[in-house]
Amino acid sequence: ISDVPIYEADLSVVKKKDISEHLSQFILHQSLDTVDELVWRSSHMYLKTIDSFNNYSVSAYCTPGHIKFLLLYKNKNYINDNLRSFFEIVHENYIRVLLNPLYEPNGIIISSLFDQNVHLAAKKFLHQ
Amino acid sequence: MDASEEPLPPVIYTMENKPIVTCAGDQNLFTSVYPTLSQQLPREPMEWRRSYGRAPKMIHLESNFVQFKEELLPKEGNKALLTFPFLHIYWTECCDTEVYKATVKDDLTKWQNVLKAHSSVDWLIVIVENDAKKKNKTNILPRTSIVDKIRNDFCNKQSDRRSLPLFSRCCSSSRTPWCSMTSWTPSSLSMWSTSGPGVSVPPGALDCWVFLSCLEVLQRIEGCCDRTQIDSNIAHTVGLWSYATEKLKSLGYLCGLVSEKGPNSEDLNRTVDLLAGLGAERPETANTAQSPYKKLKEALSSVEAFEKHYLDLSHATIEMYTSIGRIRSAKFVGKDLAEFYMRKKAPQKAEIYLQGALKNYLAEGWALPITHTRKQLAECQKHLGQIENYLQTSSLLASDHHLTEEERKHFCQEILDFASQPSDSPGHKIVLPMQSFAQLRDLHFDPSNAVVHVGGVLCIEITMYSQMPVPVHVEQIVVNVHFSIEKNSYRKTAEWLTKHKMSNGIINFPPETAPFPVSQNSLPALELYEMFERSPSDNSLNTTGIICRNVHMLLRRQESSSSLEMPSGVALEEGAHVLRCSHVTLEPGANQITFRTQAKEPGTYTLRQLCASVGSVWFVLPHIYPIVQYDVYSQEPQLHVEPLADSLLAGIPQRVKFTVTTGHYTIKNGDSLQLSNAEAMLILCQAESRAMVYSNTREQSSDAALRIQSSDKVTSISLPVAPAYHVIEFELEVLSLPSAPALGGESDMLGMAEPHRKHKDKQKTGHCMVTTDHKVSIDCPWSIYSTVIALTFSVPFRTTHALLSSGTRKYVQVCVQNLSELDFQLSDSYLVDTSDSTDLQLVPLNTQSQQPIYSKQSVFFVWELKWTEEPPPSLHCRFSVGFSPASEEQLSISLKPYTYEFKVENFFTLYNVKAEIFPPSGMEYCRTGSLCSLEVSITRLSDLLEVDKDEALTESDEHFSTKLMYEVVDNSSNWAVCGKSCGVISMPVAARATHRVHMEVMPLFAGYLPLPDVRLFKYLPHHSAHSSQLDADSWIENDSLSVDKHGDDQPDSSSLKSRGSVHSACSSEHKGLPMPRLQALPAGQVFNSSSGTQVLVIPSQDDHVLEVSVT
Repeated sequence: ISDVPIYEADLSVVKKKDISEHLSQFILHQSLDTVDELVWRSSHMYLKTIDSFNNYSVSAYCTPGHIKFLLLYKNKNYINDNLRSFFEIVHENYIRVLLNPLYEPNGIIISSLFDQNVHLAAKKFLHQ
Repeated sequence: MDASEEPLPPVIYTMENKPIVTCAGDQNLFTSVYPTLSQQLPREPMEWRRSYGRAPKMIHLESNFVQFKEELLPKEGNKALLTFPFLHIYWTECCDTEVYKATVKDDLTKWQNVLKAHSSVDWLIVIVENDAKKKNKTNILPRTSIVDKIRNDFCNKQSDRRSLPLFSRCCSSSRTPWCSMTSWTPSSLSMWSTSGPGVSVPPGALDCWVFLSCLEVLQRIEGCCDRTQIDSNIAHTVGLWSYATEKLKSLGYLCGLVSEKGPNSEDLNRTVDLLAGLGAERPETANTAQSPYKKLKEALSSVEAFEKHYLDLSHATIEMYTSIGRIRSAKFVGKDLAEFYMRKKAPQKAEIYLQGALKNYLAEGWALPITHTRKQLAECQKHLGQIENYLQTSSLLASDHHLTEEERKHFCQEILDFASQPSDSPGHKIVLPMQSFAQLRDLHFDPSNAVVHVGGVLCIEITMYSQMPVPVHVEQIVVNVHFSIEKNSYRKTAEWLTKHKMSNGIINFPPETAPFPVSQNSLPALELYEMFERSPSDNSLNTTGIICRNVHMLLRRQESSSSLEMPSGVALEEGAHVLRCSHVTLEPGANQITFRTQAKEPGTYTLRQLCASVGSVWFVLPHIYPIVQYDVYSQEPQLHVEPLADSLLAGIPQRVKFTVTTGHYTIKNGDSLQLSNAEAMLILCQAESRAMVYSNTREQSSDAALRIQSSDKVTSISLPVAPAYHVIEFELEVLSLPSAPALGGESDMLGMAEPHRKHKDKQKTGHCMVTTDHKVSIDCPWSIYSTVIALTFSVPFRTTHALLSSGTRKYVQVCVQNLSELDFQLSDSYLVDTSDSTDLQLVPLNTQSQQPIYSKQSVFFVWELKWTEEPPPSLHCRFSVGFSPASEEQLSISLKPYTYEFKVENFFTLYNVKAEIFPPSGMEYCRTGSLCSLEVSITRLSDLLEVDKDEALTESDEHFSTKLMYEVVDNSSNWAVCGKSCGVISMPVAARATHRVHMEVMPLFAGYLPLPDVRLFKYLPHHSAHSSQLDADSWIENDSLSVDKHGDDQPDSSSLKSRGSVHSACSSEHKGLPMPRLQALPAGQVFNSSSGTQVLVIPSQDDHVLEVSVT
């Protein structure tokens, strides 16, 4: 019902960016509208590229519990399978976070292990 | 093979050398669309993305369409440019899945394989929808399903490639009515353009092209659809609207149409370049009144026209987004619009869009958009002169960690600058929520239980966490306190308050996560239930599903009117009770602030609001939660007296604790407690008594000497000087005198001579100690009324006595039982005859003067009675024994002995009963089963005495005689009594008169058998006044003799003979007539000289026969 961010990470290799941090959040936030529509049309969790803004694209993944993963990236020859794999690994790690009895669902994820694994997945699938 | 990577020769391109595009599939279809295609395609501008970082260009291309042949594909290594086929297109109008599966799929696969074999990756499949064809067939699937199939079969193997932004937007509107493109790889486009003319595009040209493209597509759609179709497809077209708006905006900014002053000369030059680059309008739209071309040209021509078109587009886009529920997108466009209004110096118009966007971001907790929008809002509010709103937004921004230190300081300074301005109207306050300024973290009380007496001092220390980036001087911090009186609640009494303490007196306030109100928490959880619907006829399951029962709660409209940023609703409470702390500088981070107050009125004080004032700006925390309270109490002075041990013992010194709670009374010099002495209780004054003085919280203590003065009637205890709300404690020793007249009742009960009553008393009290209460009246200095205190003492001993006989010699036994937990030392035991008959002598048989008596154990004392003349009929005795606790050292006072009085009656022995059993004549021993003779002789031991004078006594010829009844009873069933077992005899009242009775008994067992009991009763005639005591029925029906028999022994019901003898004894009397009575002789009057003797019985040869005959 409410799309409160519970985890954010900057996975880029190059720290210098041509897009301000708040603009990227604006783009991602806006793209939630598209996710909300696509979620009900697709039976897949991975929703592929759902939005773009100038030369940036947004890919999305929605878990059965309607937790949404959004990835904003500069147009690049990402292979769909890699994006999908990346999201699947994030999903798996998110489930591990959920299994922690001390984690309150929909709470902000502060697990350093989760963060570490997300970065590892990005390294494996996005930074080739 | 990526052709764009090839270094290209600088050829001048002429359109004779058109890039080759091959066509496969349905050739007829292609021929039908070829004329339009060859005409229209060159008009579409293309983006040429060039390699090596060169800027992209917009170009127009023609192409040479040829039929697909495998020979056209280049051989390995052959890269001849002019004969190179850049793009391969497959055409089909298949709309039937069956046909697709049967032919088209195979054909496509072959085509793809050929392309793959030659490493050609740039291809396109075009599906043309034919409405006429569609109508002819009924089982046609929607076109999209064929598209999906083709996409699944062929496109998935393709790796995703970049596509034009426009293209992806078009893809989202996949229902464009005339054509669908499933794969468009841009490398071919760049190749195309590589061979095109090297036209440099001015900045903004791309924006113009996108804008025009979007509007043309939209116009085309509008041209072929009706209104309802358009409305239902907003989701697909709104992207184009938004994109066009965005592009127009950037053109406006580029050409200086948004600035306040209008475009400068440089802007105008740029505009002219762009307009020139647009070229002439296409002929087919040139004559229409409205066209995208005209719209763009007009928008770029003047500031006013731009504004009109931009606003039109923006509003249309926002409206469309809103109508399809894409609120976030609508807010994002709105935010751009707000930015435009701000540039146009129209902040009043910008505000609503900024508030709308901010509310959306706040609700979803997106931190950076919040910060960014809030910054814009601050500027807007500043321009609008909304001082309170601006200050509040500033305080939120000053505490926002997403901003730089400089930005935060700027906004903080804005607040401080305003606060330091002299106000127009003095006393006017600007009230802002405290949350963004500082947060209340914890609070702690001193004293830690948050309870203080009237006049006491209470400290409250709070931790405030300042959110400001710089130290802020606060004139005052005020806590508004609500006062209430709860008189009727026990929880508010002084006793409860002073005894119950909080764990540590620290209250923590949960850190608030504002400004991110997580709306999930406020929504109820889904209430889902399984639902089964069964057919009413056969109960089979019709439908099943899940129902959400609280859907009305979850789907109700969110409150849209309330704004999260408005400081309204924070009201400053003005109360009579405030805690204040002035001139505090709040450093960034945690600050300790201490409030100090002197308690005045008793009651409960609740901390309600926390305010901090900076000049005319007041930051207010409207509700302090969790609830924080402190209590002020007033207490009446009180005196408590309680024993130190569980129970007080009578007769020995016992410690009693006195507690004086001063309450509001101050103990002055000379104040004393006056105890009126109880007669049987002494207050023992020790040489040095000390009292402890505590504060009510028990934190401080001191001790003081206690002066005790005693007179006959009054004991006076001088209290040490003590302030109000203190406690004075001291101990005194008291002594309850045992067996004193006050104890008379108990003494009587203990000293009961009557055996029957004693028995009842034993049942009632068991092993409990007898208690006695002493009431002491105490006059306290704070009251005119006396306090009466009752102290209960327990008598540690229980005493019983018994008369023992040996022939005519008599003994008195006294048993002292220690019921207490203490061990005692007994000494100096005496038994005296209180009637003081000189003839009687009591000779003690106990030799030791000291005798320990341990807890829960007994000690026996025995005296022999001796007399020379006729003994008195009754004897009054007083037993006394000294006692002291065994463990203690020498006591300061001498203790009174313990006494016990009792009466012994009829103790003189009148009759001696002797029984003997003889074996049958001629036999040495008694045998089982053979009759033996029992000889009983009853001998009178004295002449006529006072005690003999009763109804049974008869006189004839100066000889006295009395009637006795004897009875032989064998309770152990060793003997069978044959014949009469009882009888009435007339006994001469004269010394040495003897009566003999002979009867037959049969031993039933072998061994040393005790003799049967012989009992003697006084036989009273029926005309006695007491005859009504026994009626005939009970006499006959009751098995046991209903007489006052001595002792507890029951007549043996198994002894048939014995029972029968009773019947025979009374059978002489007729039913309903008055009957004689039996009275047991007192124990002391009959001495059984044969008690305890035994007879040897040897077994007979055939005893088993006898067993049968007897049982």
